[in-house]
Amino acid sequence: MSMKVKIPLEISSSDQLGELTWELEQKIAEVRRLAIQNTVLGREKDVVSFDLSPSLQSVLDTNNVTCDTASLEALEGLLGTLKALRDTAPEVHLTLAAFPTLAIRRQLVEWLRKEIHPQVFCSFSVRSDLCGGLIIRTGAVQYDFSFRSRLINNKHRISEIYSDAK
Amino acid sequence: MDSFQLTVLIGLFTLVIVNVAYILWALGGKLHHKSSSKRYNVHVDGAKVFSRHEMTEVGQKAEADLAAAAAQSSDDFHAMLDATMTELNTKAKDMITQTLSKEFEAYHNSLAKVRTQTLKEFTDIKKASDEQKKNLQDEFEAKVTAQEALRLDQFNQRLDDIVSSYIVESLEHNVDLGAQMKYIIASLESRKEDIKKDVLA
Repeated sequence: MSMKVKIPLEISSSDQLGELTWELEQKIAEVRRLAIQNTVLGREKDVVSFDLSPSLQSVLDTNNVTCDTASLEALEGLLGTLKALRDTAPEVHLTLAAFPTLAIRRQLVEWLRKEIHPQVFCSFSVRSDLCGGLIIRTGAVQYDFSFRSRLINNKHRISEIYSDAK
Repeated sequence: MDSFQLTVLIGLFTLVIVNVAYILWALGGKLHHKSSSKRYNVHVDGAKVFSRHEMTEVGQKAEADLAAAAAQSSDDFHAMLDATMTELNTKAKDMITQTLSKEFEAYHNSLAKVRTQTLKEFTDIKKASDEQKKNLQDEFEAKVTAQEALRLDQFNQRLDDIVSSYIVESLEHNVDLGAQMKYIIASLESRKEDIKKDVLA
């Protein structure tokens, strides 16, 4: 079953989504087992609560799905959608001069999902020689907004400044 | 010797021959006249009209007249010869002057041609030399410019490396991404449409 899902900003890469999908599969198996037990034992409510990672909890909260036997069908639908999304969602790669904090990652992902694609994923890498700025790669195309490239593209300015300084 | 000179020489010889003939004729005429006079005296008189003394006197007078006529003829011939020589000299002088003038003119023309040719050759040589000089100068300037550009590029590249290395070393552990976010978002905004197109593709 396929449904529209919202991906929280913390889940920025397809790898994270993969881990999330694996975790959700495990939890769904546990929920199904619990549902069987409830049926067999005639319980109306779940007697255990599931220990979820913050990422999975965030996904479930964002999509208004709870992790219990009553929401088994919704959980399975969410899993199917996340799996499909993992295989089809567009992805970009960002290279920065330093490792981005969670807040910065959120800021970047937010901009990408708002301006580029609502379900875009992005991975991050670090190159300290960029000095600053970033490089964004989409497939075979690369946009270089790094300080280093600006510095090299405007190298005549260095010579001019050097001449002025003399 | 051209035809004019030949004509003048022939004329001169003809004149000499005529003069000689005239002198001979004049001398012959006087002699003839003298002998005729003698014969007349003999005929008219038929007897002894003149004495021996008178005959001697007449003979002497005839000889004197003959000498005077010969002298006169000789003087006339001399005068004519002088005039002829003078005229001949004048003609020769004119002819020589004309010939020399022509020769000089031809020489001048030839000299002018040689001068013109020499000037042209000098001009050509100078032109070729100037062209070669200009070509060499251009080539040299192009080489210098290329070398200068190459050196400048190398210097700029080195300077870029030095500056970027310096900045990298300075900022390696102190890059504040938070402070850069405004620039990063602005950069992304500037190419938003291109990025979107590539992502959707």
